[in-house]
Amino acid sequence: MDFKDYYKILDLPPSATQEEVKRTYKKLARKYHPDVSEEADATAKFQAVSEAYEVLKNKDKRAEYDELREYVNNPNQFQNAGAGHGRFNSDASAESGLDDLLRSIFGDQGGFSGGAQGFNGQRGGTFNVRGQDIRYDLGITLEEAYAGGKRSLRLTTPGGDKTINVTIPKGVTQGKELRLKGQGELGHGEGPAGDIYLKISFLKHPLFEVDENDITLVLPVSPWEAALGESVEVQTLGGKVNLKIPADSQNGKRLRLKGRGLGSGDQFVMLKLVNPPIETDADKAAFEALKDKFNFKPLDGMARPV
Amino acid sequence: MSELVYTLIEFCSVAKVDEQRVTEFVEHGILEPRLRQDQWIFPSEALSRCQRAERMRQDLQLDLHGVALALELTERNQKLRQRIDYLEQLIDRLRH
Repeated sequence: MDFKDYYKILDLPPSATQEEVKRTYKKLARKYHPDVSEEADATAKFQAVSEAYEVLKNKDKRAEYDELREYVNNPNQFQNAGAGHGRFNSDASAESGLDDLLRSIFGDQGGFSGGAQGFNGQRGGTFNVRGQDIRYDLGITLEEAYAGGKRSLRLTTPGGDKTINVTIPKGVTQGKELRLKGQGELGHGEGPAGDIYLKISFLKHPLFEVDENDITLVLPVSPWEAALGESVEVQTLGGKVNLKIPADSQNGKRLRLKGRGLGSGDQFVMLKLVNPPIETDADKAAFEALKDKFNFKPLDGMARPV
Repeated sequence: MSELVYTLIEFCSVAKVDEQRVTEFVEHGILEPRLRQDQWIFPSEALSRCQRAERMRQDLQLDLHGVALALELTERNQKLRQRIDYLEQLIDRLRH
């Protein structure tokens, strides 16, 4: 653990008042709170901000930290500090990031008792505390979500790597959490182990887009298929099915395959009219013939500003 | 597939939030348990909502009206974001 400049983390000058520290912390906490923030590294930032505030909000801890900070910035002024680190050995430094900070600078010598265990307020294991929950994101394919099934996962946990078996419920949707009871960190004393939570997200699919429990397939069709109607094979999450494109369909028309989405959702097929490439004179002539036949000017139907 | 549900006592122990707090959350509409034989039954989805509410209350020093509002807005925000993603991807597919 390196020395952390808590003032820099809160973007405050070291002369900031207690009131300014509090105000800035509140603002940053709202900005980076993992339950609210959309920033990618919100959790880490929130932890850094909280750790800084834990120390700076308390006048005693802050004074101690200021002294330490002064020492790190100007080590020559404190010639005896390395040996005399007992000066930083007060109760105020226990149970906060300050303790780890001191340890990182002076090494794990006497005078910092209870730091690691003090984190949960449990010393000597006399209390029974439930283990921590662990959270992971689990990216799955739409096919897995549709069909459900078992999957074996290799997870890196604080207690080492482990392999767990997960049942993915049929029709699960994005953002749902799966709970694996008792698979989290071990408890202290008689306390039970924590749980693992797996938050479901969908991997990008080559064909489908997802909207809650509905899925959409964009289907390219030729002008004559749209005009004359056609029966085509389309892909669904459960395999291929036949779909009848009705005659006189327009671009963007949405057809529904009921119950072919996730869970109770549907699959929508959206038509995308694609013109053939016009490469030869004969290609051109074919479209000229269409032009003469229809005398069709869709622009005339468009609303114009008066 | 049978749905995983919790009684109040089970729910509190798993969520690590005390009964009084859960009761307050229910009173503020943050949690909406169903009634089964005059007892509250919580669906498993309520677990993460409860923990999120409690974290917001503590970390951001919000009162329960604030927690309820913040939860509702962040959830609405997330839904909108997902919908925007969906529509953007769809437009992309229609263009290429």
